[in-house]
Amino acid sequence: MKTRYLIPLLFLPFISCKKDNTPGVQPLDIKLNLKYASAELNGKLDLSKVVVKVTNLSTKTSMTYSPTQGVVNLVSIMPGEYDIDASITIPKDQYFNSTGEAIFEDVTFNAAIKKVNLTSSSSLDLELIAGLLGNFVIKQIYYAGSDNKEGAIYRDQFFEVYNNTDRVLYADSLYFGRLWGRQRNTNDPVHYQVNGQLDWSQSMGMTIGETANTDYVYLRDLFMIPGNGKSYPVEPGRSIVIAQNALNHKVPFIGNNGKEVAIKKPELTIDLSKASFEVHYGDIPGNKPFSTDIDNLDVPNVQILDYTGNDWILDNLGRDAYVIFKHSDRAAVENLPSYPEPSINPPSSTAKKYRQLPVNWMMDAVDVQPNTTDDRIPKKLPPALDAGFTFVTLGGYSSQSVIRKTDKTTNGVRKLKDTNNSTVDFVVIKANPFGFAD
Amino acid sequence: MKSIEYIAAATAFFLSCIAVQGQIKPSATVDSLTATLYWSQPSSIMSHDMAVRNRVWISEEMKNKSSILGVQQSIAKGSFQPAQGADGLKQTYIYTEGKTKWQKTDFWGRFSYDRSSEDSTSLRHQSRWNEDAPVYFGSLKKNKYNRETYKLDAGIQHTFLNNRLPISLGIDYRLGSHYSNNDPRGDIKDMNLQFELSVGHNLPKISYHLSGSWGYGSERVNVGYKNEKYTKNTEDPLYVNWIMNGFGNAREKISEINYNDLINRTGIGGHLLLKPNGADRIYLNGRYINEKQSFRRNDNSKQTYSLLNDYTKDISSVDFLWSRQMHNQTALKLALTGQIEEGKDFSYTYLSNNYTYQQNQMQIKGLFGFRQFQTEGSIAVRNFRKKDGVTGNLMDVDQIKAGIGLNRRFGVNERADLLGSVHYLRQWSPANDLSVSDLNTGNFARQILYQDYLYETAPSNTWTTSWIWMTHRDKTDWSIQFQLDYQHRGDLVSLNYDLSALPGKDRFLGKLGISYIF
Repeated sequence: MKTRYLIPLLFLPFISCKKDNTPGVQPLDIKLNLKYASAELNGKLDLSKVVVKVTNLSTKTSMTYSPTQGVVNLVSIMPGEYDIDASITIPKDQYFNSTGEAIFEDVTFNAAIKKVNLTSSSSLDLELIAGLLGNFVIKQIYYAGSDNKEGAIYRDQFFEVYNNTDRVLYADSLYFGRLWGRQRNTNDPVHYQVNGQLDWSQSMGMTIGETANTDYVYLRDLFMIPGNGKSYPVEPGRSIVIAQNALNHKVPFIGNNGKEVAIKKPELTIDLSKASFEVHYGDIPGNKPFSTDIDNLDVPNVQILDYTGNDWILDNLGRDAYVIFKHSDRAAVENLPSYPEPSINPPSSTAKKYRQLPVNWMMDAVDVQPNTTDDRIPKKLPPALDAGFTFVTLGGYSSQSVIRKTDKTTNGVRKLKDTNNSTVDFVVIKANPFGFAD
Repeated sequence: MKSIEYIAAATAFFLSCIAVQGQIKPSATVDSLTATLYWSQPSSIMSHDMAVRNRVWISEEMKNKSSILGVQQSIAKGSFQPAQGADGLKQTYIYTEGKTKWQKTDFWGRFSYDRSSEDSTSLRHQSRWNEDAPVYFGSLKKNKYNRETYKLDAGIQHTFLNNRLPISLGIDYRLGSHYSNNDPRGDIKDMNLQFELSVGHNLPKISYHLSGSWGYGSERVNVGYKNEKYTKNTEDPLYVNWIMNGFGNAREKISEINYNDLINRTGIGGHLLLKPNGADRIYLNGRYINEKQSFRRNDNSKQTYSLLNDYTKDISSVDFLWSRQMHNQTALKLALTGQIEEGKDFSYTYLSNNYTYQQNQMQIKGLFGFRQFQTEGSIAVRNFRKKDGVTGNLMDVDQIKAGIGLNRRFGVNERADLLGSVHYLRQWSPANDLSVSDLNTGNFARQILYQDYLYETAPSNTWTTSWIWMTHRDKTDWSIQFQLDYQHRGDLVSLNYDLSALPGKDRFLGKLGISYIF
């Protein structure tokens, strides 16, 4: 047989060989079940207009879905970590027609599951909770500080609260503070909940069981605006700025130790000499404040109920949550119990204790997170207070702040956006005390 | 794929049944060719290249006592490129090669140094010789990449027992350094060493060899930033570094951006030469290689590294060459090369196989020479398929390339010739499929998948002309080579996605070289 007639046989493997190599692992199917947390609202309020947003934390892609009969089917999604947010705003008239209950403002219901690790096809429940409608709202948080070589480092941090109503409010006896919770993702010898947050029900002396986690939050510091009740009026559409140091940080100043504190690039920082209030640790008995904790005598100091460290330095990486509330009875606030961290080993006698604050006392709250996904920690706030979180995109020492968006302006008065979801309500700007996002 | 089968089968039957004109004459050995023709003529290059791929044949198809030293400069421009290609390329290539025989031992060696500079490279930090691997870093920022590669290839064959028992050793060694000078700065060091040992048997009309191969290599990849701000935030998407682990399965990674890829290879092969008469030579080579790659990152754990992915690939190849030398300076050559690659990973993220890769390719090339003319025709068929389990991404593309060419040797004067050639190649994709999941695939990965799909499925025409001026003197010779390629694509398939970059309309390549033959 002539050899050349065998040539076509050489083709056979290449023409016919196209195997179906199916990988060993497949994408997942996830079923989301939506309902209203208040049982009586199910069946009265519509679910079809709920917007469900699913964000893949690895790829940073998001998709939105509308439920069908209260169910969203996610088909062929890859295993990994996701943020799942659901939200619906019901106009007050529609709410009244559906429930018979009159309300003053449109109501937003939120549900959120953050950084959920999906590893197998399963079902998840999303309970929609109505957000609290506050009077004062947290408007701007400048926690990042400015450049640590050429700026003011953390000295120029501030916290701004806004009157989001159409009437005069008084800042007297307004309390503000930061929450404590899990601050890093490494495992310490501490009790954790299933969601990764500290399990306060295991704190030494806690007797209320699981409600310690659901009905309360825990303060790492707490301050109060002074006054006799009418000392500090705040007009509609106005705000108060509480500075760590009420100074003009753009110019050098003399510290408590007599040495000049210079600033290399003034454009990176801000002027807080006109702040409404400042936090000064100089009067705390036995506490040695930082040399840069200057007391501006023209700016009233807030009253200190709880504090930590030598100055009010906000976590510039974004691991704090911020709350405000009002209470007419100072003694009731002072008598709130305090608990240590839920450590596995008994805490020492000098371990810090965290004041337990009822969730239903709070007027407004914002959860802040680190700017990179890998560094994110479990949320400290329940969804009713903040269904999302916010962060400055450039991270610590960036001169950026997070600020609430403007929703609308009526008769020259701005109404800031407040859906109790800081992911949606806040944007990032270069820190600007008393300024606005737009 | 049906059309490809019919085209390939029909071509094979046609070529195998050609009634060749002219009388058969006893095969002229390669040593009888002049040195310049040996190094320049397409028909001898075909045989030479087959022997380079299969070192057991260095005594049959490589000219004895002939060496070459050359330098070549290339420039390429044009954005008709895959997603991870370079829009511009400048390359300097210095090489030397030669073969000699000492007593009963044939020695062949080639050393080359390649220095290239790529413009506008993005989406992958790579060495460019491991392109189907599932793990790599990349970012959207276009960068300039510099590459330096050293290669040493050698073949040694000694015959025992009165020329009946040849034993051959083939060695391939490669060292590469690749780096970019702007953020994100990639730094890649690659190394590869491969041995192939063969034992054969020579008979009057048939020679056969059995070979075993073994090799190892590595790629060490680092990405860093001079500007610290890019490691603290992901505000500017251009500078964000991504790690790909599969096909379109990427996530952000802005710190600890490094991995090592350790590679091991083993294989077997068979080689056969038939000399049924004085004019015909029929070579048939087959090889199977199993390659294992282990991707790992150094860390502070007890075992000092964490495993990312294990990637295993089976490569089967066939290399066929039939040459017939006839009277009246007439020659006929037919070459067939084919390769099947199948890759599978084991992802330590999912503790399962996630990525599969398959590529089948086959080329038939025929060359007919008559006096100073040589005509050639080729047809190549390629299918590749990549699939990612967790994202559901899939790309499946068939490609056909068909080309024709004409070479002619002109006598310039008594001591110099000019060899000119023109060539045309048409490429198209008769069947293809792409599936990309919107939620599972971020912008970085989508840019790669969609742009590659557009590139691989685009029809194109390539025109090539090359000219070689060469001397033919007694002992030493010179040649100057010049080549121009121009590739122009047709319409792209339509996509329902806005890409930040599309494959451009064309690409141009120019080469200029000079070589000394001694």
